Amino acid sequence: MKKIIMTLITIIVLLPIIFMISNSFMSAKEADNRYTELVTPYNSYSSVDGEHYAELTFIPTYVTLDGYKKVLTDDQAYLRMFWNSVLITIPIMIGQLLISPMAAYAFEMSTWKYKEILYLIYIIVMLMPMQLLMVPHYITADFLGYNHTWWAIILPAIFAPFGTFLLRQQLSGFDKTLVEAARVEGASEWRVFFKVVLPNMKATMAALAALTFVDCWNIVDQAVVFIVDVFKEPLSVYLSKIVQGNPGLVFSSACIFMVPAILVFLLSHEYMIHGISLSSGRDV
Amino acid sequence: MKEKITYKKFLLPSLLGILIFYLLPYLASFYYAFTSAKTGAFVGLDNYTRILGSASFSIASHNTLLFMLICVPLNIIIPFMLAYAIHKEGKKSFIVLAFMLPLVIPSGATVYFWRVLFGNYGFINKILISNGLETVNFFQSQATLYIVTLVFLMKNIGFNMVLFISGLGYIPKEYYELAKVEGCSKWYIMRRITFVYIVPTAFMTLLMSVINSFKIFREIYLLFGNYPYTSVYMLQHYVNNLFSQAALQSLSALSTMISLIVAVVVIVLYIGQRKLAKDF
Amino acid sequence: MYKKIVSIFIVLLMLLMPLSACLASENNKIYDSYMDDISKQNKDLNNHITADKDGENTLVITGYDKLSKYIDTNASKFIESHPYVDIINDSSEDISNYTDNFSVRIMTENLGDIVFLPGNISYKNINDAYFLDLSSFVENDKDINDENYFMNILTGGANEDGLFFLTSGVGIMDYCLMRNDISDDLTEKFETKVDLTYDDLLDIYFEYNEKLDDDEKWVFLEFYDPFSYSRYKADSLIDYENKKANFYDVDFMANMEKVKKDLLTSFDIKYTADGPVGSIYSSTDFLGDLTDENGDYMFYSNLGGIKHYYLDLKEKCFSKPRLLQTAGGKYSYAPHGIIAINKNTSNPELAWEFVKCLIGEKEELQYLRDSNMESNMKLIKILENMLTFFPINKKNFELVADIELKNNWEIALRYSSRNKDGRYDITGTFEDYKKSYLDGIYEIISEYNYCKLNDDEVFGVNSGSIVYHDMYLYVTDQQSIEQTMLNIQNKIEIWLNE
Repeated sequence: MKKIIMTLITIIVLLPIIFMISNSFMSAKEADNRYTELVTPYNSYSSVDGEHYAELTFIPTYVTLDGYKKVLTDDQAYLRMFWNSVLITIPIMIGQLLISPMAAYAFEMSTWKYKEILYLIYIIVMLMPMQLLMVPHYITADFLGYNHTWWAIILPAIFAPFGTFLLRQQLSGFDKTLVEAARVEGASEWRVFFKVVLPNMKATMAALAALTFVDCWNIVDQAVVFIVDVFKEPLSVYLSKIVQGNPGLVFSSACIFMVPAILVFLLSHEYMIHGISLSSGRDV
Repeated sequence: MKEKITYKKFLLPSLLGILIFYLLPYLASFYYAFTSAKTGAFVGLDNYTRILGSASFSIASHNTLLFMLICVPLNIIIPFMLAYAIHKEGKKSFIVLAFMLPLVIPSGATVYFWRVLFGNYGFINKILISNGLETVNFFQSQATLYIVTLVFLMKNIGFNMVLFISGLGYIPKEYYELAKVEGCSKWYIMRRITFVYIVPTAFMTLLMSVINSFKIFREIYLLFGNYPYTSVYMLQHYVNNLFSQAALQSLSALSTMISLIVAVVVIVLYIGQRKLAKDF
Repeated sequence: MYKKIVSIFIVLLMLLMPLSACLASENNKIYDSYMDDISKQNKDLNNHITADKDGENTLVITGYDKLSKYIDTNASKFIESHPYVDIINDSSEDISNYTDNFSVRIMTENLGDIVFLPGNISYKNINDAYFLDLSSFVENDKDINDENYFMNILTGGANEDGLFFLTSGVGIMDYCLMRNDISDDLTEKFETKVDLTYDDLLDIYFEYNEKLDDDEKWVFLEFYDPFSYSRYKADSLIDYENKKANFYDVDFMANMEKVKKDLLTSFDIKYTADGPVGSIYSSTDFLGDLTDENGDYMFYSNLGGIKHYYLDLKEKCFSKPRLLQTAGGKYSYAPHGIIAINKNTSNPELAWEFVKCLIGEKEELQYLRDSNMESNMKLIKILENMLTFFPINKKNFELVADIELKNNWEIALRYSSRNKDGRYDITGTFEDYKKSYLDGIYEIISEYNYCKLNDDEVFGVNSGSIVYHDMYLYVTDQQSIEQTMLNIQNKIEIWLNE
């Protein structure tokens, strides 16, 4: 009984995704006829009161790979925007992975007086809503002159404090005696960091990479404000604009857009869940 | 002495970045908040009074608070019930994966589903009209807020569920066994053990729900654009529209005001959380 | 291990896919234009280059829409006479990009020496704060006089503060309906009235409804598209000072209902999210001209219309309605494009000479051709619809008039042979026609008044898109008029209060 309810709820939660994936195997014509508002000769049989309502379905009448072919081979802008998304996501991931471990290590091991206050500032920045954080970003972007380019999104996101927070959570359970043992044996600071500490953070670094990827792949707030030129928009914003006109292409391009996110999730879901439960932690 | 210097070396890139991109511009925005848009002269609290008096701001903040009041409790209770039902199966079960999936799927990909379902020529209206009822204008009426809540819940239940599962896993099994041996009823167990020990996790889910409730802006923007119906016009829309007008002074006033409130709330919660954690 | 290899392989494939698709396809206009963009040294909207104070010999031109071609090929006169001057073209490809951010660019003083603007935005920011007063240049220049230019149009944008921009190319805001049986009535009725408005025109339509053909009804549709009508009325319904809007106005709603019911249903047009769809749209051009089976122009909705072979032009033409209530006078125009000089320029003399070249003989025609809204329109088409967009240089005007009038004459000859009901009788020769046409036209043009557009907010992207969605729902019967107007009112008030 419980299982049935749970399965039902699971399917309900997954409904949008199932919808997009199953409809992407429709041909463009069928999608047009099903979801358009006009009454065409092809869908007039199902019109109610002279108006045509959407014929929702999870099983296409004819299964084709036509939609994917169109999106991939015709000259459409989707691939251009897909590439824009990639160009935004990858530098952010690399930057976070470079900067956060060092900062977390410093926070954990240092005995500076004001360490906790600084950490509190990091946490406050992390918990702020995005729109409020964008005002300082905008000011810096204006001042340094890279406004309305991708750098305005990438540079602030590289220094986001979420990575530091996550990695420090992991490090707090780490055995400090190992570090001291390594130092006693005469290793330099960098060696200690790279050879002793970093290998133990691999799991959390994977979690951080996965979470950052998912967050940046779905970037909307910053892209809307900082990017004005249509050709530079990431696909997460552009996808909703092409909805009018081409239902057929929307499904396949949305599915292509989903695939990297799903891949990352499948590869690293254990790390992700581990990362999320770390960020809950018993003590912050 | 030597340790401090070398550790600071590690902190330097991150600290520099935070200073340049977050903290120093934040201080600069204080300067902007007190100047006028046209002349750049000092005008005192003019910007603040104008924002507080503007009708759009009151509508936006009212909607944002209402939305948070509706969805945050739902986003805590429902995942808790789900987590309680399945936490014995562990983290790697298929159900957990299924609930986590909506989190990673980008909003732009699934927005079309909501349009097809709730649009004016959508599926639900089709059912209504074929049964003789009137169609409902889901996207331009008070019902929009509830639809947005539904979208939010379907996306974010997984996150809190994972938190609750790990939190429930922290409760030592001995407590349960002891309680069973002593013959307590199920409700008593739940009340005395589970609810008590889940409080830190619930705290965390509260915080995370509040943060994620700001991110609903993505779905609303992708569905409705810059100026949605008044019942879903939120603070994020207000700020976004100010950005497109490049009204830097109003923006700075607004952001300094709200960020101070958020910072105070976070500090209070942080200290409170620390104390709670110590008790457990 | 195996899972990892497969997944990495798939990831690489996904990354290479868009690259290969972009490189392989030849017709990828978007990609090509993007690469052109990059190769033009990143002509991003805000990466401008102002003329540096030290460099006395640079001119930066800010504009939109294919100005590069124009400047490269047609500023040859200027380039010949000033070989040491560097002309930097800082125009953006996309006109909507340009206009959306224009007010921001002005505030941040992010403009070049010479600024082009399209005609359909407001000029509230074109004043002495940021732009040069050109009246002294115009007075001292010998070439700029009534003989060579339509002075009332060239300097029509002058106000009491001075002249801050020149008009380049003219867009007529009015149209003319000429039929013997109707125009007599109407000239009687409306001759003494100074300003005809949209609502008057609507009354005309409903009064003479049955007598009009489909072709002539089409003219009304152009102006009574619900979106245009709402935008037209919006200014009077918005109270900018008290930040209130009053779209829930009984008269306005009644008129909208009339428009929607009678006009649209009679044309059987359906609105979709992409725009209007209907049989009438498939057979018409952008400017609303109708063609018959032979592809000939049957009816002009503008001053250069076929029916102007009546030698006595002025009497048969009733005064045209202004589109906007703030304009004055019987005939009104809006500039097709304007040219202004930045106040902070370091070479005002050079800039003025360049501007003169832009409105010079033949160069202006090239500009009009290159900066038209529809990229597939050719010069001939513009010339044939000459008086919807016409040049201000009189010599250019005559050049263009020659082509169009010959075309008109041939069509008139062809129709006179069909001669349905005496409507197309011809009297006189082509020379007579041309002479009286030009005389009459010059007289009419001299009475044209600059139509001051409203605040760009009303026509701009923000409020336009606010209104559009609800109007679209109303026009497609998804929402009642009351609900639509309430929604629009709320949203506009939110926008005003921001």
